[in-house]
Amino acid sequence: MITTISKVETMKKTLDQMKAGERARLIQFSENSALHFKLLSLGLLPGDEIKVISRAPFGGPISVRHGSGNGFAIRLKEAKCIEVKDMEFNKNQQSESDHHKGNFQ
Amino acid sequence: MDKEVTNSQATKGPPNVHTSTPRENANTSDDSTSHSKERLILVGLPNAGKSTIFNLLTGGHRKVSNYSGITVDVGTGPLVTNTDDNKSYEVTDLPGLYNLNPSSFDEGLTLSYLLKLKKNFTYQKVIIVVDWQRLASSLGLALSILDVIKEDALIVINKDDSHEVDAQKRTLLEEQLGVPVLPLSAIEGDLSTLDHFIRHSTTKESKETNRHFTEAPLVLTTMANSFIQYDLGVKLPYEVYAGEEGEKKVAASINDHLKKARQFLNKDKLRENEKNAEMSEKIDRLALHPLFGGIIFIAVFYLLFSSIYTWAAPAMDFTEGIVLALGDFIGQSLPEGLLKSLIVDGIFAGVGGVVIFLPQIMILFFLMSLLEQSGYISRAALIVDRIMSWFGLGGKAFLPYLSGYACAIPGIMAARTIPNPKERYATIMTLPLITCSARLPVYILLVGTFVPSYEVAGLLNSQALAFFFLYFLGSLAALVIAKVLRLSYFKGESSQFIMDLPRFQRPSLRVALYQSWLKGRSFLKKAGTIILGLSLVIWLLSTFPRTSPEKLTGLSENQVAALELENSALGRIGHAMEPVIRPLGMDWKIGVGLLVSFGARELFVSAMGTLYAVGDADENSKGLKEKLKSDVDEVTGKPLFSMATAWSILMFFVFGLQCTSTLAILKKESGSWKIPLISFGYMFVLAYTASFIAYKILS
Repeated sequence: MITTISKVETMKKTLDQMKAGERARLIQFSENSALHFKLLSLGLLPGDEIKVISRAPFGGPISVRHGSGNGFAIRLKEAKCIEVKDMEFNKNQQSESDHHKGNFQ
Repeated sequence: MDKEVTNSQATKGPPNVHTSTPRENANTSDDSTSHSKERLILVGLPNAGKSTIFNLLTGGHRKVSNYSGITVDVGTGPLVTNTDDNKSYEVTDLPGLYNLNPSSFDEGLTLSYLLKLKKNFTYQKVIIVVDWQRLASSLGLALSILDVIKEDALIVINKDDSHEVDAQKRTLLEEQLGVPVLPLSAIEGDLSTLDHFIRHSTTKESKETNRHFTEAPLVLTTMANSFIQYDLGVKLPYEVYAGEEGEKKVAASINDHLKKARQFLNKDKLRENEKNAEMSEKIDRLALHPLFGGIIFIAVFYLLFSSIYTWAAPAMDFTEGIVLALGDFIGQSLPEGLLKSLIVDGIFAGVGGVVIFLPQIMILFFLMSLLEQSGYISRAALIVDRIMSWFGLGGKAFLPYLSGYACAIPGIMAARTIPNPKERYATIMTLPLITCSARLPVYILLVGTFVPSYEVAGLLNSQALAFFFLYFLGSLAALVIAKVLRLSYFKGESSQFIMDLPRFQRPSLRVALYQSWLKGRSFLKKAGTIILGLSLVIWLLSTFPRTSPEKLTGLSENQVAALELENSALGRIGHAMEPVIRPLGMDWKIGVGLLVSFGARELFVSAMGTLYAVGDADENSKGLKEKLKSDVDEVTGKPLFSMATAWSILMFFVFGLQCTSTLAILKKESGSWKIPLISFGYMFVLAYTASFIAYKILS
């Protein structure tokens, strides 16, 4: 499963600091309860892997892909409340990770 | 109003959902107490395909339910497969919800139906629609619904377009959930399988033994409870907690259900469907790109509006030709006199003048439907979100505004999804500034007649640009006014912005054609009822009282017609209001047109049609365009319609709130006359000022 993927944990940061194309793992959601409910209802749990697809121009919302390819967009202000852990993928195992991403942890 | 099937995240809720207050519930007319009839309700995540299933079950051609304004009817219709021999079913479609802790009015409405908090609404079975592309989250919601309801439930796994859920997986799921499961592709429209499933599956085990997934009772936060409407005397099957305690309990409950759903799926080795996921990501990288995203956005919407112009022109000429020929034919076979005038000048010039815009309306809605189905609309919302937030609006305001391009009424209703009341009011008060399809006939008539057509920069067309500019101006004004409201009377935080980005999908032509046909039909219906009726009134007022024959002796035919029109009731009204509209470069005929347009905007076109037909003795009918071009100002003797006058009228239509239905819906949604009156007032001031400025600049 996911644990077999080689990854190097680098540092904690918040979602708004991520660049387009970067992957990360969710650590925890904010204190903001409405945001918390919404993320859970979108099917996200702490520990899940996410990938940033794009950042809209002029500080617009950041769009994120998770699970088997579902996406959501979130304003930077709210993205600040979401803590993530950097993931660095071993290039050789990219295909393996793709193979696993449909599973749930 | 008819149901829409789209791939965007707005309220998919039927437009006729009525956010009633308990007080109003006395008026409901739901009656499901008859024993032969069973009521089903459809619940699930937004965009899971509930409305598609609803249309499939109730028949696409059937008019589902009227927007009556008083009854709480949440999109209900009988099954098409009901016959005398089998059991009769009715199905009710509810707005989508993310969890059982509502965060806006539409979600609250669904929960109050689901929990039977309205005395006169009941149901026997729940169809939970699970989205195969969002399996874990929608199954989590399904589990939480199964935990709170006592009724029989069925689960439909929708969007299984490539038939991946085989018999084995289905059985496994049924065993775990304790309810019948049907994999379905609603868009493929296999009605017989779905119908058989609904009629013949029964819950396998009793709720007590198996359908109990978590121990937690249903808990709501105080905020969520405020979105729920219930009748007095109904026992609430949930507990309300304030503050942190409530938030913790709710989060724990959603969390538990989601985890449970994942456990099931892992055990079954069921994976979420990845169809279109890779392609969607590729398109998204482009469509949401900081630079290309903006370019694509402008190109898509320019193409949308210019296609109404360029593609519809031949179709419109064709329709106009038919209407004119028919009018001529009937005119020639009738004797001179009032009857002929009534039919040719009243009906053909009035109603016919509006009907010729049918192709534009149908093309607009066809293209909008393609765009909505593709999934691009949510990306567009994201692109403009930054702009929206500058103007004090959250991302949730985008979709109501977008509906406003079709008609302000569904847009104002869609604003129910905005949880923050101040933001919601700022949205609904500015929504009528968005260019709705009723303004189209006026824009097309005036732009087509008075803006010369030439190429701009080699690939854009001047008329299409003028058209685009009018749309832009209305939208900009809406945002600016919203900002003013948000800085003053409706000051406060804007709602959070997390938006689902559904995967891109190939839009269905069938659905788009159907949507376009529905809108075309309702446009023709409007033309055949309100516009016909008011055209007759306009004809009557422009024909009577008759001028005494002595006054007409010695005058040419054209002079007689002109004098008779001036002496008519409408002529007198028009002349009386001339001092007010002269500064705008308008004469009394245009003034009359503006006056009647307060009933419905299209009436401007039909009034112009009738006035120019009555006041013109010419037997050979010309199109309204030629008549407008050749009209001469009585005072100055110059051509009446200059570019300045045309733009002055256009400005009036961009900013004016000439729509009685919009005023009525504003009153209903806000609960008082204050909001509609203020909206009408400020828009009138804007309209008058803008017309004045446009005329002064251009003349």
